[in-house]
Amino acid sequence: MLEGVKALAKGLGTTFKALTEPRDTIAYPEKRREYSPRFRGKHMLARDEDGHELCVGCGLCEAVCPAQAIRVVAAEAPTEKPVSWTNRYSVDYEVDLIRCIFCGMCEEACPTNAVRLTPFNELAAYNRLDMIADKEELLSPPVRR
Amino acid sequence: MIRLTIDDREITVPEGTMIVDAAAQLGIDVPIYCYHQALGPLGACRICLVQVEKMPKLVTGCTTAVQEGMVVHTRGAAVDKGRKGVLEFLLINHPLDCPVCDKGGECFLQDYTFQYGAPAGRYDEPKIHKLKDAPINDFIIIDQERCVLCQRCVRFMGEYVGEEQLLLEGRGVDTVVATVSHQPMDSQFSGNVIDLCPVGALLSIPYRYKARPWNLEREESVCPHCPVGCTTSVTSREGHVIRVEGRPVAGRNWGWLCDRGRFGYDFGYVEKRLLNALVEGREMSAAESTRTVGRWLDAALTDRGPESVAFLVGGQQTMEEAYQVARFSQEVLPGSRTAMVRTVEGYLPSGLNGSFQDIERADVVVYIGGDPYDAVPVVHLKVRERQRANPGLKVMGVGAYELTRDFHGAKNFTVKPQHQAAFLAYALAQAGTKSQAVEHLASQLGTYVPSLLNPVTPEEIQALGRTLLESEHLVLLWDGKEPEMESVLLALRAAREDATEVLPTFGPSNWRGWERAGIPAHFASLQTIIDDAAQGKISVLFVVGADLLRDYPDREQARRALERVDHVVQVGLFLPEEVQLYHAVVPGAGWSEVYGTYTNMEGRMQVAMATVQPPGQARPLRTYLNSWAHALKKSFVLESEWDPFDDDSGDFVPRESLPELRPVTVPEPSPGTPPGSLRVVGFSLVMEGGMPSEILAPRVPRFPGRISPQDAARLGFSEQGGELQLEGTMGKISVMVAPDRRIPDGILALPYGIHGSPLNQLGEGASVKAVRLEEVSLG
Amino acid sequence: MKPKWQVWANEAKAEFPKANSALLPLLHRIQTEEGYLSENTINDVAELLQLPVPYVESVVSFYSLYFQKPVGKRVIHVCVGLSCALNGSDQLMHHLEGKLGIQEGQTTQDGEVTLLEAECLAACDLAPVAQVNLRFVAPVESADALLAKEVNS
Repeated sequence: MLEGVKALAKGLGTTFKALTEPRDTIAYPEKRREYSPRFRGKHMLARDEDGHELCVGCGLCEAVCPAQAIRVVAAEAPTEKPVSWTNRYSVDYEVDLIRCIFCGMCEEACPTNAVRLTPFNELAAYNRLDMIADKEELLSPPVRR
Repeated sequence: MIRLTIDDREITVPEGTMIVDAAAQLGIDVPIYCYHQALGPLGACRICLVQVEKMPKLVTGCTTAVQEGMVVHTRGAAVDKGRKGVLEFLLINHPLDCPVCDKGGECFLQDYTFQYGAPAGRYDEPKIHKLKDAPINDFIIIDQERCVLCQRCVRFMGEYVGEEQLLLEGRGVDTVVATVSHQPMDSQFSGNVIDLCPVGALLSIPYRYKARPWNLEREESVCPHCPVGCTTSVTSREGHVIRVEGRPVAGRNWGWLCDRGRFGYDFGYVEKRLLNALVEGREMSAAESTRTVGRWLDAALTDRGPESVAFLVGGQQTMEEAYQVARFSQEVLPGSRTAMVRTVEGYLPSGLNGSFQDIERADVVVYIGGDPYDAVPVVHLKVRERQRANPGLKVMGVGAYELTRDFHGAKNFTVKPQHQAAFLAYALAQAGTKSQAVEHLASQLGTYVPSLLNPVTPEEIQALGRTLLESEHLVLLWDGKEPEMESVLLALRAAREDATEVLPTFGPSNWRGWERAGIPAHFASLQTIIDDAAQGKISVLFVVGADLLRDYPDREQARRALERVDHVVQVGLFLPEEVQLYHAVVPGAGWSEVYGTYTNMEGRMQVAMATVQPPGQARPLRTYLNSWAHALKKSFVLESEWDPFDDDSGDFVPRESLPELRPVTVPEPSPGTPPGSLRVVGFSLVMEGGMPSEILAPRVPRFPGRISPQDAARLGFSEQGGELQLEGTMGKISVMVAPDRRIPDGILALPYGIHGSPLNQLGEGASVKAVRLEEVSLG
Repeated sequence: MKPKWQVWANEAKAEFPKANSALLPLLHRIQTEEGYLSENTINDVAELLQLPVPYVESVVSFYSLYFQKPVGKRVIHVCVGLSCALNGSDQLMHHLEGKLGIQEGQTTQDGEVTLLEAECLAACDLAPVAQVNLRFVAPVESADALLAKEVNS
């Protein structure tokens, strides 16, 4: 019986000790963690200072993507109304965020530094289609609060 | 034969072989830009440097012929250094725009730079800027900065095609490839320079920025547009055909294509493409339409029996589909008839049919009726290649106008329409042979003496007969217009001991294949069905993949036939002309959408893979056949795919024994065309008619008709031509014509199947009243 | 085509065994009279010597002394070779461009002067070197001096 009391006291001791220790959880979403600046989250497509898209639709990101999460369709832009900084641009640029493994190889392959991985990591949606980020979505990157 | 060692491996090759070709036979890849086996050595790019023992310096593998006992090293420190140096020079002014270049990913400059090049250039000066993104015609764009000046394109157009439309302009670092006088290229072989360009300097406009090599699905296919059946590879992305390239087959062809084959692939996506069934003017689903068609069939069978059902096959159908129609007709509707939709009336027995290898061996090539350049463009290149190899090759033309273009030493016999068979028989008879067949032919001619439209002496006609009889390897290219010609060709074969081969240049492109699949090929079977239909003897007429009004030689009769049939059902890719005559039009699947075999003018069977899904409601033919059988409560199950290939004849359809000689009709001495009239001669023009294409629209000739310059002047046309109104006994059309110095006076050459100006409204060989409508000026 | 070109072509052809050898002298002769070689002229010459048009066009574009555009009465070549560059041919060219109000390769509006650059003219001891209508002016004192140079025809 003495054994039992000892074991009980030990167990409760652990419990009460933990009450005073600092907490590991945070009150998400009211509170958020700081991430490393190199954290790889959702993609974005960048523009240059004139507002032209940097993406020329070369498709290298698509080629290098190990998860086959990217689809690029390029087209010729009319010279009078340039979309990107050259006459080639991407009409469609889709990232399937369910497939994406956030390895960052697209970012590395991009010859124009157009696709970048932002630290944004809040990637929840109510259906699968919403998890495919289209070009419009990628051009206006979300800001992490 | 010469023995040499390449990379420690021995090989024996014929004398005169270049080192790169010998290496290729061993599977050793030597980099190449400028060299092409069809064009011969040049040595412009220097990338093929190899080391030959006992030679002091590196040599170019493409210009150095093999020597007995030669020891060649295609890799090694010295070779790699040499190639690295060459690449550094090539890249000095090369722009760094691979990400926006369509060649990126399949570019030899990229590949070899990756393999041999330096990681960085040492040249810091600014790059020279040249013309970029400049179209040189409606299909091709040039980027002079990317050009490595290999001259393949220039030499192909100049030496190979013989249409000098590209040249090198300037000197040294400023040299560029440009078009002659900066005019757009208008050759029908222009697209080949895209395939030939090893870098991204000449690129396709329709394919521009459409895809990257890693997006593509590439399937081996066969061009469906004309009877040559060029081997192609079809690339598609996301279920859309976006490019067609030539596919070289070793020892058989170089993969050249004409622009119709290369750029006319968009017929599956044009606005005219059928996507839904149209039954009695009402759009419905394909499945629903089969029930209606089944009811019609059922009614026809109960009321009038299966003899009142007929099937006409044409257009884009594969051999397998033709076989399905034949089986359906035999098994589900025994007693029903089939025929193929033909434009010309001639027939060629398979025993006479030659192959392209005969052109490669020919010493005399005779064009009969039409110019292969118009009907089967790539054959023109084959004949040109033969004349390059054998300058003594004689090219002769027997037709209503000059057929031989710019072949050296060519001779033309301009014979009135419908007189060509008799003329050839006459020429053979004049040659004085003891052959029974020719004597038999001559006995039928009686006192016939041909009158030609160009000045030809009797001696020249005699010489023609002798050439035909005495040449060593005779190849005849026949356009199938005069059915009597078959007997002349048979007699010629019988009279000769040496090879006498005929290549039919007439369509439909797959007719020989359908014949093998069991569809009667003779024009008479089609004519009987049409005539019966016009007399109201047909209750249900199926037209599969053809446009009857466009293709049948007598448009009025075809129209009468369609009007008298109770129910006309069209299965096809496009809305036919005068669609109100059809009771049901159901969407079919065609080339690149169904797997199938096509037989070309050689009688060679070639497989075309399916690449994409048919759009909309379009269904393969067998789906319809199955459901129609089902509607009749009969079973029609194709247990296994039919194998058209034959164990003995391999790729070729079996050659059957030759038929009996049929009599040659001696033409009435034609009264001559009355003043103000022209005699109509049809020819097939691969750029005109056929399947619709939006990409090709700018290339379709604005003036498809051709008349003599004298007639043009008489009618008051300028050099460009104008619109002519033609009135014959059968009807009236207006057509755009241009003067052509190859056409003799009184002749109007008109392509078959022109939309809006159909030749079959006038009739082949008809004499028509010609009135100038108005002068048309080109901007 | 002018009738005497036919005569010239025959003369040139008689001098050489092959027609393409006669091309350069014939082009020179025609250019001396016409001032430049237009597209029509090129077509005519090709016809006269029975050569392909692209061949003649390539030849004309290859040699810098055949002009495909009309040139001025005075054609000034400024050497941009190494020795001349070291002796200020850049500035000379710059001054000339300023004085004439044109860029290198252009002709003045009044059709007087055409300004061209030339690779080494093989008179390095006299750098900077220029040519006016192919006659040497060297060393060039100044742009003004060069422009003031009389044209002796």
